[in-house]
Amino acid sequence: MEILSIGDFFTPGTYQLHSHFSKVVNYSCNKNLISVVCSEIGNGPVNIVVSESGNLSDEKIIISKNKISGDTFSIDVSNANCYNSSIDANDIRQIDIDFIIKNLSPLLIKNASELSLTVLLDDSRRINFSSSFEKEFLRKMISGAEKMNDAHFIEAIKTFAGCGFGLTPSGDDFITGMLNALFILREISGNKNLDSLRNKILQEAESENIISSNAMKMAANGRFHERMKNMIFALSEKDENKIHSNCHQLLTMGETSGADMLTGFLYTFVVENRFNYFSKY
Amino acid sequence: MLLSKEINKTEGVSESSVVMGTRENKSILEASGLLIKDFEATSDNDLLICIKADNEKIIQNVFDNMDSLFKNIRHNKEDTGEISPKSFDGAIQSMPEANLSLISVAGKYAAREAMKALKSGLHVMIFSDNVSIEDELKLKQYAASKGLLVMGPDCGTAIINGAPLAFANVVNRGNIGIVAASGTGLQEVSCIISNEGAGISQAIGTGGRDVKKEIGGIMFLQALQALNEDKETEVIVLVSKPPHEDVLNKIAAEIKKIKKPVVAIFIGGSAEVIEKSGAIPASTLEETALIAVALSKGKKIDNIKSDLQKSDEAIKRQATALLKNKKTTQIYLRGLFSGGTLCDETQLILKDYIGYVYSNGPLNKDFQLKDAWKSEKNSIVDFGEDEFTVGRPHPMIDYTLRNKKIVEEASDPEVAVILLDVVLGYGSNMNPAAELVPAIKKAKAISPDIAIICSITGTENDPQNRADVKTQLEGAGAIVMHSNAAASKLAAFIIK
Repeated sequence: MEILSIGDFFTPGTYQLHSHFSKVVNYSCNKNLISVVCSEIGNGPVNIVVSESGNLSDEKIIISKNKISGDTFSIDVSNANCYNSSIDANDIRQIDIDFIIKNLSPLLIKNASELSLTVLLDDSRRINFSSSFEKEFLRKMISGAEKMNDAHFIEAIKTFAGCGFGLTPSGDDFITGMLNALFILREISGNKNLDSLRNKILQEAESENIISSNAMKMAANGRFHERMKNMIFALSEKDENKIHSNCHQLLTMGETSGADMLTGFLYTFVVENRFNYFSKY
Repeated sequence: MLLSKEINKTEGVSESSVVMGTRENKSILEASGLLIKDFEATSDNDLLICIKADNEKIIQNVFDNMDSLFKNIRHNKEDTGEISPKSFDGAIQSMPEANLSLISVAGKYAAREAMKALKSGLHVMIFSDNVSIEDELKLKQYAASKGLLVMGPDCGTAIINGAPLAFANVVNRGNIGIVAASGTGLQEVSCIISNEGAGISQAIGTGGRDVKKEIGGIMFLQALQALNEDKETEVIVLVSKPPHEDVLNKIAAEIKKIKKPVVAIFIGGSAEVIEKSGAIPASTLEETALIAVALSKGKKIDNIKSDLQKSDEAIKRQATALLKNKKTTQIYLRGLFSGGTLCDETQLILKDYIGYVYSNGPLNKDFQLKDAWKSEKNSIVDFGEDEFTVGRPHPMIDYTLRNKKIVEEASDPEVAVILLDVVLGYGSNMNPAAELVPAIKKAKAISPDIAIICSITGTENDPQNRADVKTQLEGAGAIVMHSNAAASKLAAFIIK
């Protein structure tokens, strides 16, 4: 196994095997997570990108400042490529909310999987929710979106959190996207109150599900997975080709995770555009 | 969600939900009548599998088969083979006799893996794209110094010692060698050659950038030399978009040294340099293949041009018959392509009949489609371009977007012709007819007079079987032509 790059938001400690997939192996230590991933998954704040993640079967790994070791390996990472998961405010100040809504909405509506929360942006998708669970889930998500429209953000978060399909429930992915958008709104509006809103949202949304809680924690801290970071830069640069390709990259995350996250991201801008809640928060 | 879909396929199961055991999901399950007592003690990290079925036995059967249901999902998602080494070293250990490595990893890591392979003495085919041109140059210079081939990056097709690699067809073995900086160009030429009863010795892809100034045709020249030295190769075919002038001159100089007959098509390029070098220029992929076949059988090539003219006359008559059904409002052609070179060839053919057409990869920049998703007048769209493929399978594999577009175009009352390429072979969709037939039928139901013209790049030995696919497409109302050039000409005659 060779380490290709490492994230910049690790907490040192002894991590136990949490879950093992063909392209991702997750390890947890208290509430912290690290993910050993193959190159196809790419960089993230707590990702270790390796040449062959599927082979990793160590029950625990120890992360220290300069070394990552397990039962079968020990690698000096003091000179490893380090992924910078933060975004410099100067790089996104020119972001144009109208442009984001105009360009991202049609892409999502056209390409997101049927049972994703993109239904909140396009009513015609409601027809895809046919089983009793799906119908009830949809009802709840619409009510969450309505609470956001009414500026009842914490109530909205309580409605979204933990709901839906996947290892990271759809509602949690939506909140991750929302937190990403709030970071951008904080930077472009300069409204420091949004920092406390992000913290409140995180406190409300965190659960025992360490994977989605970790994703929300990173988003609340202004840390981005490489795919999301690339998307934000593409939106900032107004590069339609890059927006297109990054959108497709994000949509390949899980069955609905990428779509749910992008929907949360976009929906936050839609709400801001309509009501200016966040710039005045 | 994928597991739920898999469970729902079971007979007698009316509904299922597979969700994490969060408090919120449990409340949804309760509201939808799916919560059972056993779920009460579960936590956020537990996976809840809820099944509504005709009886408990069905549910028990599903749980008994849960492992295989998971395996099905993994199989569907990963298409695993028998041997699936996780690293280059692992692959070498499992196959020490290998002399070629096919690299298909994320672009930014491909050069590193390719160099590992070269340093282990293997030829390399790089299927990955997004490799920097600097890395490509380094790899090719190193390979050339070691007498090795680097096919790619972004090399989609090759046939080496009879083994089809990546997107390639099952063609006859024979005495025609091909060097191509164009994937579907190589496929179309090799298939026509095989369908005409001749065969391929080697088909070496170089990746489209090889013939650009920065790379200088390093591998195109190396492959040309290799075919010259190959005893099984008696005729050499070159397929590419026009190389950079400097590269073209190098290729011409190399051709001059070769005693074997060389047929060349540089799609859209000038024939003058080719002729001066002593090679035989061709104007379409079909003509290239037919000339090569004649030469491979020791026949004269004088009649090929007149045979193609006769074929054009027959296509014209076919168009005249089809024109009887065309409404006066139907004036435009919409080409929806999966193969980039086929898309280029069609645009070139159309230029001679109806002028430049709009495209996401136009011959003339003034005809660039503003939005590749929105056709304008006569339009030819390459669905293999990045705007359609990033994050989703190539259109030769996944027909979803193109099928959507077929129906959309048929709904436009100004459209007279929809032109399609269907590329068969390994790597491509295994049942293209099942994908296309519903879309074609739907299009014909919307617009009964529309002409849906297809070419099929493939052979009867391909896993999809060209003849079977042809029968099914014709059964749906499509007109299937014997080559992309013929399909393009038929479309042009109708629109003209």
